[in-house]
Amino acid sequence: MPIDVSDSVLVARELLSVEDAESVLDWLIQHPHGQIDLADCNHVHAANFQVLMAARPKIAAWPQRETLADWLRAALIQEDTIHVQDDSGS
Amino acid sequence: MNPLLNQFLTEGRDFLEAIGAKLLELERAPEQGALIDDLFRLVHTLKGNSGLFDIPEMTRVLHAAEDLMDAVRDGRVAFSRELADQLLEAMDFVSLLIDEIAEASTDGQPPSTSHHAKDAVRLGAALRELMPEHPQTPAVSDAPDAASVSAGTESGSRPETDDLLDNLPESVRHDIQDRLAAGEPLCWLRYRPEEECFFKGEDPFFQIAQLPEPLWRRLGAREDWPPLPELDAYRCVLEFELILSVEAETLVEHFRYVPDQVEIRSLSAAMPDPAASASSSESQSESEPSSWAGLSPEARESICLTLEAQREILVLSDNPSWLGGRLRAVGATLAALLTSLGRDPAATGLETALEAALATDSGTYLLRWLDHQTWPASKPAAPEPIAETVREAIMAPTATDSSPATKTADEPVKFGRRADDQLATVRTLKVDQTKIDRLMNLIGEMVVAKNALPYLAARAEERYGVRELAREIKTQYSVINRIAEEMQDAIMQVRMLPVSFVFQRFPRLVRDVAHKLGKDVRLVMEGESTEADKNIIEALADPLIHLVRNSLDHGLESPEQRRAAGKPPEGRLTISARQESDRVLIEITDDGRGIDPDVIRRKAYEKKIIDETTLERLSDQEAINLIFAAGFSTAEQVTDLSGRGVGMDVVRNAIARVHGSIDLRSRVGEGTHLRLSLPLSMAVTNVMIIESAGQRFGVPMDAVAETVRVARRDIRVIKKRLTTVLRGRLVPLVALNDLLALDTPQIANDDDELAVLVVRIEKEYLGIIVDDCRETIDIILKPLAGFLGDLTGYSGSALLGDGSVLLILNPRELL
Repeated sequence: MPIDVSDSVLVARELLSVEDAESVLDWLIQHPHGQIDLADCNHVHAANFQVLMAARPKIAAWPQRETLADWLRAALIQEDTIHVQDDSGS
Repeated sequence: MNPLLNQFLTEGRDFLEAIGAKLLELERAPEQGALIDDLFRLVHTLKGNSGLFDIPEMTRVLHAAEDLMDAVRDGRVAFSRELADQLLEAMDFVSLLIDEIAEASTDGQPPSTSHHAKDAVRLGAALRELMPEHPQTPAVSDAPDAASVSAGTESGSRPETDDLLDNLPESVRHDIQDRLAAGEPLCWLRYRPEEECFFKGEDPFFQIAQLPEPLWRRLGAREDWPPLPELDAYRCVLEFELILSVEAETLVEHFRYVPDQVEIRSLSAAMPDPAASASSSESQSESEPSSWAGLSPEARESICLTLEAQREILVLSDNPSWLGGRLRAVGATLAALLTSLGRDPAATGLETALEAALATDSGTYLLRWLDHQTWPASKPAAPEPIAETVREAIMAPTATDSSPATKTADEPVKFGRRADDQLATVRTLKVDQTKIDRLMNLIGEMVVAKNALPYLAARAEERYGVRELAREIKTQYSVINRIAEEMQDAIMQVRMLPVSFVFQRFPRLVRDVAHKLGKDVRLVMEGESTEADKNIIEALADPLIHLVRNSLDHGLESPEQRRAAGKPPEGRLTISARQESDRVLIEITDDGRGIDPDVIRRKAYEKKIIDETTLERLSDQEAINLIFAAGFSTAEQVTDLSGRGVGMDVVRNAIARVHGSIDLRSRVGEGTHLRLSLPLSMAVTNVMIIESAGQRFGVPMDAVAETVRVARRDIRVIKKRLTTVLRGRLVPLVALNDLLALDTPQIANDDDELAVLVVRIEKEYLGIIVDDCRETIDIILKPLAGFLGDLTGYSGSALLGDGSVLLILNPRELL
């Protein structure tokens, strides 16, 4: 199971597949202030992107994989600040 | 080439031909429902087949054609002339792709056909437009948008790009300008995946993530996000925008499956900011080779004008028949220009671009090449209109791509033109077997006619006494003989099939049968590529299957029995084929329980196949060979696999019919080894001519063991049968005249010796007394047909060089 959930944090590992999008969406609906931990995530299916973009949850940890992190930041943070952000270490 | 691809290409051409024929037929009789069904099926199959390969362009067009045919079939669209035109054009396009793949494909992979992506999109859209409701309306309405990969000439799309670029953050813009100035190819890409893409197993983000690191990116949505509970996670509304440092072609290739969802624009010089373009041109002049510094302003201008003219020529969207010449002219001009600038045309890839342009019949490649070269800049004071056109051409480097697209409005492009002049490219012929047979018969007759020459030579010498002429005829004969043999060989090659034709069904057969019998069997096949005549291979199919089944059923034991016998539980069945001189040897070996000669003896006796005396006398090998006797079956239990008692004698006869032989060796507990020996080809038979009662007959050489003269006094009568002793062996003799019921005695020679032809039948030797043995010749054996077909004593007839008919005896049946 790539997704571990607690009351406040959803931890995604390896890959968020197209099927996971539904679960992520449900969890975000139920936990409007939930945070997402993507540190160990390597790839996120585009459907999850949509969910994250629509929900704009707080990202507890950005992916360690730079390509993915860059895209997620581009999607979730206003573009003017793209080049300023760097909190991937958290 | 990959056999699958090869087959697809061959079949694809057949399909296209059939589709074309059906379409034409439909035009004559549009009401024929059956024809439409056929057509739909053809298009459908072709589409399905194309999906096996990485040719999305073909699949796309065929898919649209299929949808259209489906609509026609359901009566939603009436079949019309335009519809047929459109379909024919689509098929011409497919045929063009097939030709291209066939030409390029050497390593088994179809080449990329992505440069046709735009045509594919256009044709697909055109086909769908003919449908009453457009199930993919967005695709159609997107089409101009998508085509703006190319359609930069449309004035509308340019400001849009400019806007987009204007929105870039300042830092990114500078970065981009710097890179452009340094000559880096930059592309702006917008990817709008279609809404249902997730259901097609696509992951747009994966596509994007595969691209190199972008200089700038934006991930947006086509509409505002709804509140979370109303969000449909599986309706894709994402929109990716990137600026990348890659060539536009690479991107087109990368997104070739979704060409209608991406928009790609090359940013070569497209920065809208006048200041930016000025600075870029400045930096360009800085980077000019020093050798250009000496160019006078006039020279620079004329270079610019020349380049401009070439561009304009390349952009021309008419498609005259002399297009090739025109492209070559442009190529020559550019090469001359390079030379005058002191550069080596070969080093710049001009030739490659020219070849590509010629191959695609469009100037696009040359134009792209032009864009990627650095040229001396003209004086800033260059005439404005020209600068304008240059700029336009540079800004829309792919504009010529769109020339077909923009042209569709007034005059559709004809791919059919290719169909007209590409006739010579078909490499494979599918020929009816009867035609090959006819050719073979003709060559056979040629061989016979050729055989008449030695007769002629002999006559010239003996009858007319002209030895010179006889020798010349013989020389000519050897020449014709050589050619005839080569012809024969060539036609044999045509008829050759690999044994894999039969072998290929064994893995499945063995697996199924073994499974049914609860046995573990490992099948080993060797020499599948060994070839033999089609007739032989076909005749081999049934007997081989029978033998394999026998081995599985009777030969190999169950795993328990095998373990008990101290053998590995998995049985091993080897089928191998190899060529040995002019025969094909096929061996079937198993490591099963083998054949017990005692069991065979007893069974044969019980079934009254042998009598008691024979029972005593039979050697083990002879006993084993009894399983080839008619009506022999040893299986305790008749299964549905084998063991109906029709097995081995049928096999032996089938093999004998193609002049093959079968040899069986078996050791109890160790396994059975079957060896089939077959001729490579049945076309030519080597026969020995014998004379008896004033007639000539032929006997196949493979049956003849030797010919001897036996003195009449050496012939003894034992139990009313003639016998003689040859090399210490008792050989029974029969007179041919008796066998043929000719009422004349055999004629002996002057020394009172009789000619005896010793033939071998199933390892038994038999002497046939004839009047005389003559030469051996190659003949084309023709089976007796009609009423004569029932005469079993003859295997056929042949025509001799002197025009007479030779009957070929079949010693086995004669006795």
